[in-house]
Amino acid sequence: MSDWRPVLLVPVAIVLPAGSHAAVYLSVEQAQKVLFPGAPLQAAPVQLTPEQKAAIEQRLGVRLRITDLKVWRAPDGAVFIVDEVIGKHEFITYAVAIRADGAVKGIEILEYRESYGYEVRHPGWRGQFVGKTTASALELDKDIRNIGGATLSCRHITEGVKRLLVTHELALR
Amino acid sequence: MSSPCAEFRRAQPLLGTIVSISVVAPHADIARAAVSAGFEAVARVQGAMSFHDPGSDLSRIHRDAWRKPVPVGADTHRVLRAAVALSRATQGVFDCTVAPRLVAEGRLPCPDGAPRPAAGADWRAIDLSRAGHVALQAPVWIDLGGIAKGYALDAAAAALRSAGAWGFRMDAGGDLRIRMPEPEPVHVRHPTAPGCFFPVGRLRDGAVATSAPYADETGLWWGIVDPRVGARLAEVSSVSVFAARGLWADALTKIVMLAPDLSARLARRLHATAIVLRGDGAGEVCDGRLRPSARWTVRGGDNA
Repeated sequence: MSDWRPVLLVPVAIVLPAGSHAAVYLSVEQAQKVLFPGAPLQAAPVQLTPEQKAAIEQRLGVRLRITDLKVWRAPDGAVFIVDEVIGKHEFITYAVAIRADGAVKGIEILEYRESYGYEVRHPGWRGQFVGKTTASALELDKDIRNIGGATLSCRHITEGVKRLLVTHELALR
Repeated sequence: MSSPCAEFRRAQPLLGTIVSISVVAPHADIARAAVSAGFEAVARVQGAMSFHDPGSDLSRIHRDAWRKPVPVGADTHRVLRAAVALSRATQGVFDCTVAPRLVAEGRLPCPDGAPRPAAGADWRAIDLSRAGHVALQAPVWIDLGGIAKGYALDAAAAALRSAGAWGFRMDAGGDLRIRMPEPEPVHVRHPTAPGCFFPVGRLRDGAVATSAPYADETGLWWGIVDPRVGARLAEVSSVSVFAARGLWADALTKIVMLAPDLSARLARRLHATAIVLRGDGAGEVCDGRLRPSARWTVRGGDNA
């Protein structure tokens, strides 16, 4: 195929030794425009009371890590919530829009960050790559845009949305 | 005057992973509309080919196609035709009916209301002779996971182009689909160190799919299932395939991994190229003949 060519024609290759990678998709404001086009949203942050927290935890069977919620309200009773989920190696900020009747209107991922610590912890492993970079420009994160072979699952987001739906039902209506 | 070129990107939880679409278009409104059209195409393919969703074409096939032909959408028929053609060409090395193994491992849910797969039944039970219909000569469970993901990006690419996108980059959990005015650098994760990215090539218009036994959240390694022996491959290496279409790219990763000898002719026919990265840092680039055209080994450096 003429549209691609391998760069690995020399016996070297590498790597982003920092072990971290981030992608920013939308700002909070941009996500609001995607999920509520044209609708004015009013910031209405919520601090869950101990009773609300206990009720949500009992329903979900998990401990709530965060009790202050970043909430915006739309004129039709819908809400927009910005939340975070943390996996073993990834940290995802996302927004959920929930209609007044409690149904999900939409989900937007705002930012994704991942981090793997072993390169730092195991200098021997890292050492095999030091000084082997094909082109120094490739180390810049902006050039690492197209990464094949990820480990990503959206399970944490699914769990986060479920938590926010229960929170909405018990504390935000 | 407004900017002559606008870029817009969004990411959605779809296909069991995170799908991101980035679009370059002559105007911001066109870019935004194109991104939405791309996600709609991905969601359409997911809705038709989901193993989990009881309303998908696939679930209806599992429930009913063993007793009567089941009408399916054009996308599903096309992907199944490709899957069966690949199975035939590889004599079953590629087999989309390995789902029972994934169900037994708890990687896929047991299909609701579907009969257990018949012992010994495989891809040859899938009958696509009637247009727009699928019949099964014996009950089987089909998992289109990988190739449906590749096909979803192909469908999204078509939608983006119709919507007026000049260029785009899509990523579905590590399967890439790119079409840009200039070639883009492509990196692949190291199979044993997913935080490290190897530069493997440049791509202007096409797809890259990668299969690897990456560790999951619990630290378990999940190898690729070899349908001929019903077991997972133990070797820790990743195979990335560059091809014109995501569907072919994804299927070829498995075929290269399981039977490099068999995959040579297929890769040439599909104008595909494979890149193998091994856990010990060795790697090779294989062209259409799937003979290594470049090899390398990363050895311990002085700073180690």
